[in-house]
Amino acid sequence: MKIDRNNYEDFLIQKLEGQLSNEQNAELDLFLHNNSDIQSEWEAFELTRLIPDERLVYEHKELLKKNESVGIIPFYRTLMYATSIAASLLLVFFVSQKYFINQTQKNPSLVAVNNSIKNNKTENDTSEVKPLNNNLIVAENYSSKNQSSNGSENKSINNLQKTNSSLITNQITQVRISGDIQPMKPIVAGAVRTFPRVSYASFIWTKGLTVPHSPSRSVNEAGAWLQVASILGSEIIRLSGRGERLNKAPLELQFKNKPVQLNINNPYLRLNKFLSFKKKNSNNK
Amino acid sequence: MEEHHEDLMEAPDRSYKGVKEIVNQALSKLPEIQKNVVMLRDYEGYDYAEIGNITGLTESQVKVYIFRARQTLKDYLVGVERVI
Repeated sequence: MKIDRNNYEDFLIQKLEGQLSNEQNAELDLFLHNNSDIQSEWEAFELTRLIPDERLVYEHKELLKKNESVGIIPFYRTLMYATSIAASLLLVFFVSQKYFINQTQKNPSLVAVNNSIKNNKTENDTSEVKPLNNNLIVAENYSSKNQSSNGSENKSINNLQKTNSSLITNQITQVRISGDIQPMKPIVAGAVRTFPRVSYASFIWTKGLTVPHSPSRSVNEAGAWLQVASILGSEIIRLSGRGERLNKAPLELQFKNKPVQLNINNPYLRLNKFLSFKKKNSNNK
Repeated sequence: MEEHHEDLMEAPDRSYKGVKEIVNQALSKLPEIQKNVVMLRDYEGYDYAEIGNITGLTESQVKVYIFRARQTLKDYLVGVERVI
C-alpha cells in the first residue's frame, strides 16, 4: 500500500509500534520529508508513547512476589464468576426448598375429608365432620405412633374417626388422603402465584362455586391446597401475579403421595362446605 | 537577553514534566480498555498476544484498541496545541 495523505496516520502508528518493515520505514521517512506539515503529527505520535517514571521505586518489591511453596491454581475470572453464580443459585434453591418443606410440615393442621360434610354448617363447626363408611378417602392419623401409610380402609377410617375427637378439641392432627379417589371434577382450581416460587394461592372449590380472591394465608396453606388438588387428580389452574391464566400446572408430581396438612378450621379453606367426593367405580362410573 | 527569556516563559511547556502531565491527562480520558492495553504495551512492554492473554481480547482487538488510543492521544496533544 502506498503512503499518501489519506492513510499516513496508520503508517505513523505502525512505525511507533515497530510494525513497519525496513522498506516501509524508508518510504514513510521519505513521505515525511516531502510533507513537512505532517512531521509535527509524527512528533505528537511519539509523545503518546508512555514512558515509565523510573524514579518511582517500591522499596518492598520482594514482598509482592508469591511464595512458590504455595500451589498456584489458575483460576480465570470468568470461571470464577460462573462458579459463584452457580453456587449462589444452588444455595438459594436449596434454602428455599428447605424453607418450603419446613413451613409445610410445621403447620398444626389436618385434613379430614369425607363425602358427608353438610353444606349448611358454619365453616368452623368441626364437630360436624364425620366420615361415613362408604367414603374411600383413607385418612391416616399421623399423630399416632402407628403410622401405617398403606393400612386397610377400615383401619384408616377408624383412624379418621379417632381424629374427629382431635378436630373438636383443635388438637394437632395430620391426616393423609390416600386410596382410590375419584373426585368430582373440577374439584379444585387454583390461582397460584408462581414467582419466585409457589407463594400463595387462591382456590375455587367444587360444585361450580367460585370463590375468587380467597387467598391462602401462607406458603404452607397454598402448598397444602396443591397437595389436595394433585392427590385428588383435580385440575389446578395457574394464574400469573396479575391474574392471567397460565398453563395447567404440572404440579401433581411434586405433591403426589405426600401428607396433606390443612387446618380444617381455616375459613379460607371451607372444607366443611365444599369438599365432596365420589366413590371410584361407583357413582362416577 | 531579557526578551529572549520572556519568550521562553510564554512558550508551551515542553519539559518532560509538562508533557508527561498532559499525556496523563489525555490518558485519563481514554476508555478503560484502551488505557489498559496502552499501559500494558508501554509500561510493561508486552506484545499484542500477551496483552490479549491478560485482557481476554484477541490480538486483533488489542491492536485496534492500541491504534485508537494512540490516535486519541495524538489528537488531544495536537488539537489543543498544548505541546506541539
